[in-house]
Amino acid sequence: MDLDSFEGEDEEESLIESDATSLLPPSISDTEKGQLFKELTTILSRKWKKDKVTVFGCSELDLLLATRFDVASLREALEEYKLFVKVIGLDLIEYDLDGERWYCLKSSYYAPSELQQHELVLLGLIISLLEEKDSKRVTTEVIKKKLVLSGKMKEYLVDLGLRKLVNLGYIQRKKHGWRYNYRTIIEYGVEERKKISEEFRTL
Amino acid sequence: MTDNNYIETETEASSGYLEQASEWSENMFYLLFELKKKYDRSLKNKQIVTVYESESDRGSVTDAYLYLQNEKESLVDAALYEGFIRMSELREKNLLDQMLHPDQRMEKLSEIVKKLSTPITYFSRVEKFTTEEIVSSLEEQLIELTSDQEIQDFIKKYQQFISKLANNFLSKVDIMNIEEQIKAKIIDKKIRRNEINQILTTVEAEILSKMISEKKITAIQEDDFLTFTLKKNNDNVKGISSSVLLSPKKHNSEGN
Repeated sequence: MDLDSFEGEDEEESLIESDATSLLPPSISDTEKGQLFKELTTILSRKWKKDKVTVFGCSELDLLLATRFDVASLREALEEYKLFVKVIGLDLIEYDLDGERWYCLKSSYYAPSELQQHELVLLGLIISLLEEKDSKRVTTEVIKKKLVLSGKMKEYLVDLGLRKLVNLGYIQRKKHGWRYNYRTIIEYGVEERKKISEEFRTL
Repeated sequence: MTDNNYIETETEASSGYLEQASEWSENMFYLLFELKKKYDRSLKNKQIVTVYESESDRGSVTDAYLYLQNEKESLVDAALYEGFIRMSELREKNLLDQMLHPDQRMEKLSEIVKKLSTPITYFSRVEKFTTEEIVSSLEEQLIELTSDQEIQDFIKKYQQFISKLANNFLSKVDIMNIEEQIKAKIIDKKIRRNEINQILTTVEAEILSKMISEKKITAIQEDDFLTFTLKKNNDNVKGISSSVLLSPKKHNSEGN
């Protein structure tokens, strides 16, 4: 890695920062903003458990309470923060969790996945079953029928994998069987999900 | 001169030719259309058309381009050829996939799922919050209470905090009373180890452990049963442990 490109990035960062200065209300000084961004990075990059499901980042309500901004200026500040982190290859995204608006950070390019191979297979299977147009209920029995009966996976591994996927916020159990949770929707776009479903069918 | 032009000049020559050509082209277009439909359907359902059948289909429409009259028909022709290509790809892929072991197939699927994701970024760490900051932010407030009435009111107002603190201390008399209660409850009785939870409260359990460590009571464990005695020397006891019974909720261990 050459140093020049690094310096270039630094310059770009300061450029974007100075460009965005005009966005925030003048009452916030540069040092205060620096502090705010530092704390935002800490808050938005954390991983914790809420009601036994892993969640990332922070809800808008909590951010409002913590910063004592009004909604408009908070969103403005987050817009500026988004430009700020974009330089280092991160993306500020918002997602919907139980009707609330949440914010977290996502890698723009690649980051290691938390899942093991069998969990990835399970997730791929669930995605492809849900993506089918005439999809019926995706229940645990259907999944086991596909994997366990054909001898591809042991039953306990399926149970374990499903539990982990629920805990990590990928899927949730609803009345009509398994459904996507917030995380699958964030990490896999519509195109990607379609592609997984296509690839699954050929396999 | 292109073939299309050639046909045009030919058809211009005689009206008989013209009729014949238009009939051929209609037939050819119909054939193209039917084949396109067939391949679309099979590709959608992943049904494989055999090499032999596919080749004969291709042979029958090889010179179709000679009869095409407008852009729409050319497009159908092109779409059919794309269908041929995709069917050939599907056939090969299917053949290769058949050679894959189930494990390899699963591995492949997991690779695909992994590749297509852009996970959420987080930093794993131990959360550190220094208590100093919180403590330093607390302010001390001096409350001046001059009259007796004010002091009484103050105590009444903050009764809950004061009384809770007072409850934490047991006087010597209390402890002796509790000791007597414990003796009444457990001495010379055979008690199952997991039943002791229901018999004693937390405070009693702590005092019992204190009594055991002070050797006021001897606890003997036989299989799953506990016996508490006041005798200090028991010849039958082989091993002595000074383990302390801390809480009835936890796993109890006594001297054997």
